[in-house]
Amino acid sequence: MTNLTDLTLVEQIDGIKSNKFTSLELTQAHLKKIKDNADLNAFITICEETAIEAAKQSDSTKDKTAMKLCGVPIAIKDMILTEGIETTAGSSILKGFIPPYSATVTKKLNAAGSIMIGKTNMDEFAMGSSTESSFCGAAKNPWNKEYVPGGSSGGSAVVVASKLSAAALGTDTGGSVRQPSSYCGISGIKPTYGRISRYGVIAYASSLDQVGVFARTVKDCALVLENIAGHDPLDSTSYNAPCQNFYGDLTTNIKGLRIGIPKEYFIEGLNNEVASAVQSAISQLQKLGVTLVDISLPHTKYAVPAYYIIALAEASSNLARYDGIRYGHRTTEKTNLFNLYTRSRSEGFGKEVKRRIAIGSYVLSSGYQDAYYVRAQKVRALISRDFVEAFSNKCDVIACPTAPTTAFKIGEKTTNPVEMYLNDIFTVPVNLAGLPGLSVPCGFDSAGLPVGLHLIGKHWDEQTILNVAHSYEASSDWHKKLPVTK
Amino acid sequence: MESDNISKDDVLKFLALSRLDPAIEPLEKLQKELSSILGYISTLQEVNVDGIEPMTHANSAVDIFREDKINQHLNIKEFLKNAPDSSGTFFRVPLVIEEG
Repeated sequence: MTNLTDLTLVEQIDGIKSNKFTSLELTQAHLKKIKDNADLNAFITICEETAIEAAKQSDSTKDKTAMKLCGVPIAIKDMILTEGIETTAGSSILKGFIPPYSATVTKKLNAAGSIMIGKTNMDEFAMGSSTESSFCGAAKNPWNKEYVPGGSSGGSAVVVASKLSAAALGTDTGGSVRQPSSYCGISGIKPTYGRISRYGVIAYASSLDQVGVFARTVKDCALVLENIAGHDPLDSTSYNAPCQNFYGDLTTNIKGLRIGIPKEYFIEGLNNEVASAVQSAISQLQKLGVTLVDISLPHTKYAVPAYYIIALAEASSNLARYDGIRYGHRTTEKTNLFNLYTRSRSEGFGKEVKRRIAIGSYVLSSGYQDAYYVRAQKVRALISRDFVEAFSNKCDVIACPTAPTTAFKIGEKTTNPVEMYLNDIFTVPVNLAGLPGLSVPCGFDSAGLPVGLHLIGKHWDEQTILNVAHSYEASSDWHKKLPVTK
Repeated sequence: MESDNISKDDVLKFLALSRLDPAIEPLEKLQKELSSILGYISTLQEVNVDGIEPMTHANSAVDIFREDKINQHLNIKEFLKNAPDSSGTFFRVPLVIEEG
């Protein structure tokens, strides 16, 4: 008998709608697996009571036709507000914070009938690439628990890879959905900036943040994406466009597509085994009928410094709201107002967050703004132009590695912030340009750690990268290889 | 990577701008780390950006307005549940304007 937790999201929905099992049985199976695998530290909050109650309500609903995610457990990164359920952004400054409202994406998942099973572990305020900076401690890579799952949405990646739920939401500002997908051997998509509402998503860098989806198959990613995408009047950066049928329009026919291979992404510093796995995947795409085209994205090497100026500047502004006044940690020391701010913030924030706020404040300060922030925005324009030129004339999709290496050991990179930042080298250009990007598993290294193939699409063309990934997945079985869990 | 060495005074300036407490922060460690990060991000100085307009957003939309009318809003009591200190319908804070 198949374990219910082995099923994909689509299989779970089919099973519920055809009365093979109930949402309650499915939810209870996942809750048991979550408890059995508590050592992965994938969750900050497990919503056992509310999930069971929601599952019972789902089962009692007679007409499930409109419920596209009917009765299936989905996990949500703790960066996304969930009314009545603690939301911490992985930070002790928000420990105990109970949101009085839900994010739009949370409401959309509820409206589609899904069951919110828990809030996943993450780097503090999404600032990190390893999920080590969480105030709850590091999440563990289920392929090898001595290794990081990636970040900042590492908890969500662990949840999906370990079958603790079939899908999860994350957020991706510089790669925080795609890189952990690569490290954990699952699929993860960050859509075009503006595709998904940011209302109720705790802000890190507002011109870069997007909600993303993790799942074990591309079909599952497409189905969740379709249900959470769409214009929201509460987010003025969300895109006003007709709803798209990402799941329904999936096809494995990718003949004739031109896949750009950027020379700047296959360089010294790229791990040999990662390069080899990605090259094999690209060769596989050729067998599926695509044409490979050499392209150049000449400003690639400036993407990480440009990102770290822009993101940190925006973060220093966004995190100014954590002042101990209306919510969050307030120092117990009796002091004046100014010291209340500084003491509360220094007590509540972790080291990496404080570093980033400090740099962000500096690059925006009088006398330095032109040299750093404005210059970084001009470099951003150049990086974006590189992609526009490639997509206008040469290719439909770009293929490259998601990360320069496979997962690294817990503690290996925590002493050198710049070394940690370089993990994002292939993912941040996509956020700077606002493009959609997807990571799909394409192999393993000799230590048994997963490798991800990164597919980058044109603005608003999530469908094409989903189709390429779906076609690749259908012709390989990397996505079926999953870590052994209890 | 070259580092832009910043002084202890610079670190204190960054902390003040960021509303962080110098009495709590490890100043020497921060000085090294911030120098290293600044050194890395300063590589942008070598890029020729002549004639390039800053790109502030990936989204080209501008002037998104809504009607100036009151919509449904949350009850103040709901917001005050998370307040570290409150009195009636107010958040309570230390004295803002000192006497004298």
